[in-house]
Amino acid sequence: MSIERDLKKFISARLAKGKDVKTLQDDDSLFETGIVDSLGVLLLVAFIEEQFNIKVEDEELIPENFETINKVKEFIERKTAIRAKK
Amino acid sequence: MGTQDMPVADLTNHVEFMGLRLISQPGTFRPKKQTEYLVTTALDMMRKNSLSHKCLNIIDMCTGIGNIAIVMALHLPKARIYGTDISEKAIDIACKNAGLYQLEQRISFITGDLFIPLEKINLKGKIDAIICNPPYIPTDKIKYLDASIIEHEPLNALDGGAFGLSYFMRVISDSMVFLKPSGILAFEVGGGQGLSVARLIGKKERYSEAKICPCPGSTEEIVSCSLLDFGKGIS
Repeated sequence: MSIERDLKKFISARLAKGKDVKTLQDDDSLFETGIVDSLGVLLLVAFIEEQFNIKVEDEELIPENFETINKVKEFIERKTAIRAKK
Repeated sequence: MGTQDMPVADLTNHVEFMGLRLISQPGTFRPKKQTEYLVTTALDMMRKNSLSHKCLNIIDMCTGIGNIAIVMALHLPKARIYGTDISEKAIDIACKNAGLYQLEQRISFITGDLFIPLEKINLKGKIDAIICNPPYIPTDKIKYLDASIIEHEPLNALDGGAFGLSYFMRVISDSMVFLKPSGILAFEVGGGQGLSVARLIGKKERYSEAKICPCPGSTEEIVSCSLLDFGKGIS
């Protein structure tokens, strides 16, 4: 399954809380749409750490990495690439 | 702006906190009622752990005008308190407030960013409790605050960075270095942030399970835990 599909499935099931995510685009802000708040971002971190076997450091917990589905996907790809090099 | 729009504290240059009259000036963060619950929670934890009469080292992180540090010092007669704040103006006023209650010998107020000013003092592993009321409003939510808050409170006392969690992350991380085993960490957090901060604490795997208590009469919460000592936390 692709990273996007995994992310969308998790967001829809755990974070959207009844919000309609069918129209959510990969570049829509997860914060401005109210889908991800301070708790939601930590649930998202826990999910990607477990699902993709990566560790998110405190300093990586910034909007630049989590604002949109595309940004989360890019972040996961960067982290998994770093892990693969080790 | 007319004086009718100004907070009473800015007109009188004084605030009340837990029955104490303290100096406050425009441009400094004014203590809020819910913060009294942070102090009582921390004091209760110390009483439960029979710490109240011991010689204690306590840090009041983001001390502002020193209200938490001063009340802690008055309730814990053998405690030595270190209060830090990034605002030089707040620290100046905190020193004056300590003077009002003859506490200059037991409270050190130091200007600087979180734990950085304490690095010079040999305190690592020697702290019994860290009490912290940090800025916790998410940066992107500042613009939605009531105008009376934005106009009268210093921005750096409100802005909690990304998700409102930036200061919590730093304090939770650095407290592991400064606290003694079983040392207490207690935060005031914004409404709805309790679970987030508890999760940040849990992620470190070095603290007891965080307790979240709602502040009576407000949306804020108190989150507390202790540094694990060979798997033992405080109750």
